Amino acid sequence: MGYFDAVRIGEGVDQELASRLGFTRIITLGSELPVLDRPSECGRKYLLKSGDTGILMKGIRDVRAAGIMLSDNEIIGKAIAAAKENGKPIVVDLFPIFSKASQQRFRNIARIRGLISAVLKARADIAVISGAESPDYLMSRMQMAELSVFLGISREAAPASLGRIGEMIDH
Amino acid sequence: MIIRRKFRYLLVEASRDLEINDKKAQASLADGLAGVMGYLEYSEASPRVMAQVSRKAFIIRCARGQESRLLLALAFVKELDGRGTGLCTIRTSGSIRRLVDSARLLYGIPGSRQN
Repeated sequence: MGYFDAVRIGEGVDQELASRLGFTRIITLGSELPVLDRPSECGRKYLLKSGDTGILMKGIRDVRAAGIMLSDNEIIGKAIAAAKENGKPIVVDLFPIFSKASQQRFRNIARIRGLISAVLKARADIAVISGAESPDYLMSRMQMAELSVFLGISREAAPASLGRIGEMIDH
Repeated sequence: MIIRRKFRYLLVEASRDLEINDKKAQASLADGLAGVMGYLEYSEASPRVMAQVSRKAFIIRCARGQESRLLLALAFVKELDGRGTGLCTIRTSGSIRRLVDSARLLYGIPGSRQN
């Protein structure tokens, strides 16, 4: 099984660093994997990010939508259930938990924990990504697995959640 | 009876070049870690910088059993000496010598026993 991460660093991450960090590949969101706010006709795989149930439901049925991101990590039960039915993973972006203001950080940790708990209850798949916007926010595979456990994913399921984003693109 | 403390060693890579042997940098790292872990957990882990192996990488020691907490705390440290810095844990080991060897291989530093 390969391990993947997805980041927002414009110039991408050199693959030597990716392998030191323990990843098979680090994918750049935007250029390699677009993040769109509505289902698109573009012939590539993309991540759908929205807080609108209607848009999410439409996107979940689109074969090109590789995964679903919920805006502000809001729990939308209907979308989570539909994602499970259609085999689409819910992508959890860890970047918000590193926000500078501590109150905001606590709030974001609680929201991500709530989302993960809801996704696990629905038995849907989770893909965890760092979403790093600069090299300072990159994490190694060990750190991401430990962070996933801290946020509520079981130690056994954590490695699979780090491999899912790569599987989504390859299929 | 003398109780011998056992340690784990972590190879950490920073996102920028740093001089971790500098006292100011070490104090800044200690403050950052204590801020994330809390003073009780920090004392239990008792992390200590052991060696700088390259411009970006260094080895840090902690009490055995606390390494997962420490590597998580390192992920939350985003500033050292007033400058934005990310810290990634690359490897962990029970022996510093093995970690130095793998660091030499990873960063292409001559002198590895496996070379």
